Amino acid sequence: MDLLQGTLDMLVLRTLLLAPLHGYGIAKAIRSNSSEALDIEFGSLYPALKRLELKGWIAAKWETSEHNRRVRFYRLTPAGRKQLQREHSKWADFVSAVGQIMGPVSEEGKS
Amino acid sequence: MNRLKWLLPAYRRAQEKDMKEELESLAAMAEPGELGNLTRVAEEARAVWGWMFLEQLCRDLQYAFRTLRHNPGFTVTAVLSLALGIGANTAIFSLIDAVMLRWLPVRDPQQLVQLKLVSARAAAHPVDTLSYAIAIALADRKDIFSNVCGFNAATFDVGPSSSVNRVQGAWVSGGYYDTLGLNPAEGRLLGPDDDRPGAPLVAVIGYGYWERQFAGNPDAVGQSMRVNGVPVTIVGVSPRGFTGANVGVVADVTVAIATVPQLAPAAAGLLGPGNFWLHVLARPSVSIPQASARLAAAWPQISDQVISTAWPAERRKEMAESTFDLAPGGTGYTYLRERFKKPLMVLMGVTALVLLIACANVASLLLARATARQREISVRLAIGAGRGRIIRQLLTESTLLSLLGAALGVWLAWLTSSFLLRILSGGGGSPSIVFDLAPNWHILAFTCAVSIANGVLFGLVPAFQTTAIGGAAMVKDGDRITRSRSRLLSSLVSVQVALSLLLLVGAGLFLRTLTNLLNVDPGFRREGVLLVDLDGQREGYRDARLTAFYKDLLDRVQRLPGVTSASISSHTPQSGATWSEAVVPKGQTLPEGDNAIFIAAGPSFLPLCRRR
Repeated sequence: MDLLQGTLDMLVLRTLLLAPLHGYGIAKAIRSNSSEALDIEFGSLYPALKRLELKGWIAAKWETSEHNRRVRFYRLTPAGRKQLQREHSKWADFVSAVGQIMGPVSEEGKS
Repeated sequence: MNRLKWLLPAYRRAQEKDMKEELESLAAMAEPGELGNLTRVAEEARAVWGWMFLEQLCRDLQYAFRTLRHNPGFTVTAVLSLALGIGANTAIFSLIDAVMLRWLPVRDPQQLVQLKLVSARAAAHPVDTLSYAIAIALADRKDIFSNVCGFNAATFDVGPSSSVNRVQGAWVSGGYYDTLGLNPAEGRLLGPDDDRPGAPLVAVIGYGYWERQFAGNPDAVGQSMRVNGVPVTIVGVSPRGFTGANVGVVADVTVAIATVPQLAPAAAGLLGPGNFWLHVLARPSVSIPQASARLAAAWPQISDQVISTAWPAERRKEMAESTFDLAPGGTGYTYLRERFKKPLMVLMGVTALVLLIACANVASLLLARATARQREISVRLAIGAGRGRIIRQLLTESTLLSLLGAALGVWLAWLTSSFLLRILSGGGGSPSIVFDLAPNWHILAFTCAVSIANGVLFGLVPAFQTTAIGGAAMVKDGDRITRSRSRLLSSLVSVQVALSLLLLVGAGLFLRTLTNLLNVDPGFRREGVLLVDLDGQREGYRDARLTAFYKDLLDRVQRLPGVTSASISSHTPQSGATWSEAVVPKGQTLPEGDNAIFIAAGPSFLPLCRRR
């Protein structure tokens, strides 16, 4: 499934709300949390991480993983938390607005 | 603020190292190939960082320089084409600007009008010179013009008789500086009181002359200098930048017309009502149509007083019925305008074509080279270069190329301008024409913009076409886009050949005409005939002493070894100046508008000119 434009940042922020993760971990988390429906390309994810880091919404730190490997962990900053709230409410508005127009999935819509 | 630290090399290196380690660690965790092309990922991540732009620009410039250096043929051709287009256009336009378009450096030049007399008989050819009497009479009509002035260029012999310099100058009426609205750089300028019979002999010198001859010393004002052998007091210096209303002739010494009888006795007739020799500039006190209407109403009356009573009644009536044309006068007067308007326009058209050809030339060069570079670009795409990155690099390259061309073009414009001015001046004898020919910045900017836009546009065609297809496919098969591009290329080439042919034929015809003119048979002997141009009157000889001077001169020349024959003459064939008068055998009536051309000459003049 393709991502809607601009939703990747929101997904990353939401994923990091639960726990700090490394780059590969974020991709895996999004995939499993969406029941394998969303497969984020690493080529888009990584620049997005750099972008969010530059904006100060996430921060990175070198840590040792459970497999005893040095990896860079990203966590949400307070500014990132606020941004997530904004995006979340915007997203909710968007979904309800589109939902009102589209209505429940009907029989002819499926054909 | 935070972004600025990205400009520090140490910080950048640390970031770069961090990213490399991070990507390696992630790659170790993931399945092989799961993360895709990591080089490209890193490249795109870097693009997020601000410093990338500057660094890439530097690297692109270095690379572009190297590429251009490795293709000297291509580079030289493209740069020369652009330089020619830009240089020639700028030079010609600068000249057109100087001769025809530039305002005089005076107050509100757009308000000035030049008065021209339109007679019923020659409506298509307004007379742009008027008599002194007309200029004076019009200056009194304050209800029409707030100021009126007449002027014409002159040459004066300045200095004591031991070291006389011929200097460009101007005769002007009393309202000259008031009409132009100028303030003196030193002292005062000429006013109406200086332009009355019997007024003290005074002169205003030009700013450039003041700097050259008096080193810009304020003491120059009040000093006396000899003009045509007569002492004249310098009363002031005209403002910097103003060189007279006669465009192209720098007036170093300006004197009032009323002083003609003292300074140039031989030309005293210029003050007479029958002599139409002054260019007249005026500043209307009402709107131009209103001034035109009032002048038309007032003219019959004025003309009655200012037209020579010696003229036949018929001519007087014709003058009274003439009307005035109030042409824009803020650009001053120059005979060059009439004479060179058409040639300059033709030149402008031709150089515009040259620019077009240059652009087509560069475009086709770039297109042809793009074909050669397809593989290079494909390979770079395949190994992970971003599309935007490649486009930016090609953009840098073509901009650099265009800028090089533009820089050379500016230099060429300087050279060509002075060369053209020498042609206009017509070489040796005639007084030199002086213009400020600094390249016109507007046209320079325009031509540079055109050629840079052209270079960038065609530099980008290959970038878009090649990158649109994508790397891997291109490495295998480069045929497809080559075909569509070659259509563009071939049409460019045909346009170029057509235009070049047009110019070539035109230039060939011009050249042929020119050589024909050089070889035209003047009807007299040219071989072994030398000309000495001398004016005894200017050297201070008068009457009997003048005749003796010429006789003595002729004798001495005849005695020179190698001289077989010598003669004096008032005019020489093809000198440009003629002496013409209406003449008929005694008893017949004078024909209208048919004059005979006179030459006063010594006895050996005709044998000397005759072919053996």
